[in-house]
Amino acid sequence: MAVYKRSYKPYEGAVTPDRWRFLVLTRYGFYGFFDSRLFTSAFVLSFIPFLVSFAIIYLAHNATIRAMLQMRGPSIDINNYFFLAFLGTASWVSFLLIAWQGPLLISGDLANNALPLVLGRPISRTEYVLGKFLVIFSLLSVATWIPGLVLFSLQAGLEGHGWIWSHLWLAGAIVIAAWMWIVIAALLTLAASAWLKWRIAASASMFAFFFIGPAFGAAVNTILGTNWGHLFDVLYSVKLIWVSLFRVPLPDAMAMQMLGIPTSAAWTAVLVTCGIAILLLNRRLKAREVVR
Amino acid sequence: MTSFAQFRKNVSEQPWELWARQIAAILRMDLRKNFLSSRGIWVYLLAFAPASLIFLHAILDRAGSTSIRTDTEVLAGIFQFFYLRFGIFFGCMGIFTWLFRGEIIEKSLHYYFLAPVKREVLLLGKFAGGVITATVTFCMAITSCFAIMYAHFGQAGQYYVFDGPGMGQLLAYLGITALACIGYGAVFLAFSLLMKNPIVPALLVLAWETFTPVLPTLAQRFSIAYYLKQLCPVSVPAEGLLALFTVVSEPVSTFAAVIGPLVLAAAVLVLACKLVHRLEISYVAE
Repeated sequence: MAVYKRSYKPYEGAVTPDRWRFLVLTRYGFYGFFDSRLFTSAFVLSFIPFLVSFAIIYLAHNATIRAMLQMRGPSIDINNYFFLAFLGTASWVSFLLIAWQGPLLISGDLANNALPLVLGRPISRTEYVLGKFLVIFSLLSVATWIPGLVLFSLQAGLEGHGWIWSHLWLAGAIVIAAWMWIVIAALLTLAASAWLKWRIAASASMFAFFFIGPAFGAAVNTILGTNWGHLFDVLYSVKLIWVSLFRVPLPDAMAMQMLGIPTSAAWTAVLVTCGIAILLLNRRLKAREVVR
Repeated sequence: MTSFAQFRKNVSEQPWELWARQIAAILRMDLRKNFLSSRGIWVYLLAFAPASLIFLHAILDRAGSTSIRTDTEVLAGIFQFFYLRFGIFFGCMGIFTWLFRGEIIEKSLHYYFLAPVKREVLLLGKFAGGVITATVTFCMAITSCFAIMYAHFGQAGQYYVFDGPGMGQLLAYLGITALACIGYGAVFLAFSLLMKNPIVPALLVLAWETFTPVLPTLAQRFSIAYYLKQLCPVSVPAEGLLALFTVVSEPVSTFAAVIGPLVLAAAVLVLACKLVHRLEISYVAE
């Protein structure tokens, strides 16, 4: 066909339903993350805690292999402490990954004035945030609660004797604890990414938030002679909630210095942190550009 | 002519006066940028946050329920656990990594590179600007903490500061702060020239500085915190799990403790001078 005979033809292929269009942002978010070979390698390495835990559970139930490996002494008890330790390690490792690459999600759009272009399409601000949020949510899920449930299933399968029914609450604790951590990490990452165009500054601010918060909280506690300074330490609140979700007995919680504030206050601190992050996002993400 | 005489002749022939003027010009520009920009507000917040808490403590403790000794220990704890471990560390990380990376982000580094200024002179000027910014900010914050802490004791506080050990302690804190800013500043400046994202190595430094007390004495000597802790006028015992594994090392002399961070900073600055020579600007990559 001659070129002059070609005229405009609308796209006739399948159209993504309106409701799911924000997933395009998620897809491109993944592309952005896994463009970096270093990140991909680090992501693969983040499964090491899972593999180690998997091996421990397997060994705990297999006396033959323990004998072959000449492992003496009692096998490790697979209980709430074990899953708590796994979740803690996996969450930290995955947080390092997200703090490193996560700030790219929004800062790129803002630094290049691309936000009005994205929001000029049939995608609302909420969907924009949701699309970006899902990138972090999916990555952290794959590294935290999904392997946690796999380990839980493995333990249930190997232990038998109705272990799964007597410990079903543990599965719920894994999911709730991980989801809470993921929501905090994701919202903080997005807020830092939206406010600090420089990716390094965004990463640094996230780390500073988690390191300076405890230091400031400790300063409040020391100077004012109180325990309420822990409210400035989101990590403490998260740990406190986890300890209660995983039903750690009171003496052990005391030994871990986890009784400074009531659990309800810890939940409030977490909710306030998430609320502030959402407010910051709401303030920053506008479908307009101010040129001075 | 002996090699030493040749070296002396070379040194005396260098345009020191010009370099000093160039450093002063760079310093002026950087100080204006560091102190007056809204971007630096977070450093003030970080530095003065404990001062606001101590102010609150001074208001609540009007009845004088605490003693000077207790408050001196509290102040020492705040200095060692808040300022030295995190506040100055993160403050220097923000200030010194921004010195060159900030110019790249704002696409203005080429102006410096096109000017007839040696890159080493530029680096030293910027480093001096960073050191003055960090030192002045944190020293002011620590002085205000100190002043508020003892002012609420009235006459007794005044006596402790001016006729007791107070003034010596304050000067020691200020000196340690300056040394910390120089040491950490040099390290972060070198990191910002060495790699695009200096956060990961900075975290490794933080981990190193935190966990070196549990390592053998020889390893501890490669940490800035090791020297600075020795200079602290009031010792605060470590708490928690880390305290269990802490290796008590032989104390070094005050002179060695002062020289240690300075030597480290000088060595890192020499490395940074080499790095800045090879630095190529790529505004697209940032």
